[in-house]
This record gives sequence, C-alpha cells and structure tokens, in this order.
Amino acid sequence: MTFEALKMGDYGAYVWSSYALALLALIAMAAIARNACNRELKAAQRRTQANRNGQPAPTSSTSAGAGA
Amino acid sequence: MNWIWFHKLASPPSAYVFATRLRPWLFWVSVVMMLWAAYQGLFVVPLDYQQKDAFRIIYVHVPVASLSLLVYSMMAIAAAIGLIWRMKLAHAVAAACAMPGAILTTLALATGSIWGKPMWGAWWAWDARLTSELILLFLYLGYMALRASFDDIGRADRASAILAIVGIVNVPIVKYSVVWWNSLHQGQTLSLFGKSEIDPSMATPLVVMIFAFLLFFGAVLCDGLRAEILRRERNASWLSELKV
Repeated sequence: MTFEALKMGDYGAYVWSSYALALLALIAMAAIARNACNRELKAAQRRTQANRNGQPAPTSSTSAGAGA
Repeated sequence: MNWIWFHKLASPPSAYVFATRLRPWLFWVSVVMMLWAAYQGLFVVPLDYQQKDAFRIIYVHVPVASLSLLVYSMMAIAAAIGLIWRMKLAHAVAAACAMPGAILTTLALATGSIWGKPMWGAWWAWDARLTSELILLFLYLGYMALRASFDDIGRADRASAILAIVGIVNVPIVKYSVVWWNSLHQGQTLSLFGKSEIDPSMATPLVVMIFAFLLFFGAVLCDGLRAEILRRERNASWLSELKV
C-alpha cells in the first residue's frame, strides 16, 4: 500500500478523520453501554450477597437520575 | 398463531436472558461485516467521477445518518407502547435507545461536516437537512436530560415518552428535507427496495455497512436494555436467582 493510496488525492485527511471518528464513536457507544450494564450487575451482586447474609440491602450507587 | 413466545419475551427476566445471549452474536457479526465493508469502501471501490476519493466518507456517513432516524423512530414507538399499554419493558427499550441514538446523530453531523468542507467549501450551512438533523440531536439530548431530571423512574418514563412522541414529527422532516426544499445536501441515491442511482460496485459495501451498523446498534441496545432492566427490577426476586 503506497503513501499515495493513503493520501487519496487531497482528500485523505477528510476520509481518514471520518473513519477515525466513526471508530471512536463505536468504541464509546459500546463501552458506555457495557459499563452501565456491569455497574448494575455489580450492584445486583452486592444486594444478593447482602440478602443472603441477612443484612439490609445496599442502595444502588448507580441509578442517579436513571439516565439513558 | 401462537403468541406465547412474544408475551414471554415482554417479561423482564426473559428479555434479560434473551439480550444476554443475543449480544455477542450481534457484536461479532457486525465487526466482521464492518471490517469487510470498510476495506472495500476505502481501497477497492472505484473513485467517484465528481467527488473523487472524498465520496468514501459515504461508507460511514450514510449508515449513521440512516440509523439516527431509525433509532429515534424505534425510541418513539417503544415510548408510545410504554405509555399506552403501560409496558415497562417498552420504556426500558426507549431509554436504552437514547444514548446510542445521540452518539450516532453526532457522528452523522460530524462526518457530514467533514464531507461538506471539500465538497461545498464550508463545514456547516443552515441547510434544511443539516438543521433538521441538528434538531434531532437536541431531541435526543432533551430526552436524556428529561429522564435524568426525575428521581422516580415511572415519572421519568411518562414525561420522556411524551417528548419522544412529539419529536417524531422531525423524522419525516429530516428524511424528506432534500425533496421538500432546495437543499445543498444531495438527494437520496441508494434505495433498498427501489431503483438506486449508485453503481452496484459502490452500493454493495454500503448496504453491508448499513446492516453492520444496525447489528452493532443491536448489540449496544442489548447491553443498554440489560442495564435498564437491572435498574428497574432491583427488588425483584428473579434477580437473586440469576447467576450475576
């Protein structure tokens, strides 16, 4: 693959920056959803553990505002 | 017709298990499809005779712009189902759509702006398509802000559902803005069911990329939905039986 092919005429900066932005957005989208899910799972684990031990269930540290 | 499977899917525990199982399939299939389509779009398809290499931005811009509308429509329909039939899972689906929808809309505006600079000579124009897409972003942000302003999930669901339903009026405006007004933005060149004005060698990777983004969104939605279900069902007995 030559430098000219990557340069894409004079449009390389535009094309590559679009693809880089798309990659960042996809990673962000997946990571935000995954983190939210893991956070809730950990809170559920803590509650289940507390119930098994007969302790009062801890309140979730996660749902401030219940944002999307 | 037996609808038991559908009723079963509408229960939070079943939906949670279904989303957990479906997510890795959607994710990995979308990644493979995206890599193939990106390679084709960047290195294999021929140059556009007018836009030269700049047209390759189409392979990220068109899928995200299409999805920004589709996700909003899905969010509004789910919100309406939740509001009318008081189905909690529908509100959870609507809530889970908002974040990926906002990111996709931002990406559509950003990649459109990057494409606009070499083609129109400007990063931004107050054109009907661009402005209505910007309003779509504000609707997503407004929906998320409204949800976050309530402590009570039930009230957040109802208030945000009304906003989502009212905002659906913007979706046909975005879609048909290039037809209804004299727009700087080019008209539709790809049609899944009608005649496309784009060459098949360029269209095939584009269609694959659109479906790849759709599947990727599906994977993100699965995680978002699981988080929403866990948040809403925190006192439910089925959660303690779940191997979390």
